[in-house]
Amino acid sequence: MVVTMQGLEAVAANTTVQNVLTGVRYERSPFTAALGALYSCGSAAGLTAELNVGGQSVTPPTNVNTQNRYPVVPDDVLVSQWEVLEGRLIQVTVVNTTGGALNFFWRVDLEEADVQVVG
Amino acid sequence: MFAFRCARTGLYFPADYVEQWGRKYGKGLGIRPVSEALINDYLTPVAHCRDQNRVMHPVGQCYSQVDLVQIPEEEFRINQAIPMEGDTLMERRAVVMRERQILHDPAMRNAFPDEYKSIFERDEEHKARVKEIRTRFQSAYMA
Repeated sequence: MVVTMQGLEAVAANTTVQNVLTGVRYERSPFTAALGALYSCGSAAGLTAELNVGGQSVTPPTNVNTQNRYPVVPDDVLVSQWEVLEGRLIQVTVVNTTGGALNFFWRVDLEEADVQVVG
Repeated sequence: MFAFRCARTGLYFPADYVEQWGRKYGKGLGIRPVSEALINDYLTPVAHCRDQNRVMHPVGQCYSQVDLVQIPEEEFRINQAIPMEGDTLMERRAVVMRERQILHDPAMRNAFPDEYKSIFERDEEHKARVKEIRTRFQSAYMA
């Protein structure tokens, strides 16, 4: 099974959004084990995104493309094939480094992994 | 003079815009030359921050077609787009975009009434100036 979350976050000038997934249904993984993929687009140059899963950094702050639309799969993948266990928090932090407000378009896919987790 | 005009915003880019695409202009915008001008996203609510001078709707690249046009040099000077390369932190472009929002969005206008007055006056002057230049250019061209 695959679950998908997609959204748009307006990021004010020179500010940080700690987690764009806050309040979204699968902010914490619903599967015993899953593989995730993060897709992202920015409305203009100057956004950086960072992925943390269960308190562990998956990417350092990384520049986001400037397509100004919702992400296209697979073109706009930022990072895929990351593992997440049940109940772990998925945190996508976005920073706007510019003097103007920008839009951050994001999509997170979680695919249930066909493995048995011991312990 | 020749220039490239953004089909959406009406702003002008220099004549070497297409030739220098990917080098001087349009970095990160793909292989086809399109407009790198910014547009306002009025559908997304205003993004608030502590600095009142930064409160605005989000902006984004417009990706519109660019057309080669012949225009008077004076018009190019006053309607030239601010290049992305020289304004990577958007300090200059954000100010312009916010002014356009105050001018065109009633909610922004009500939030910043004093700014609106001066922006409106400047905009009217700008429009009159452009009209005058165009009329002069057209009559010279037709003659």
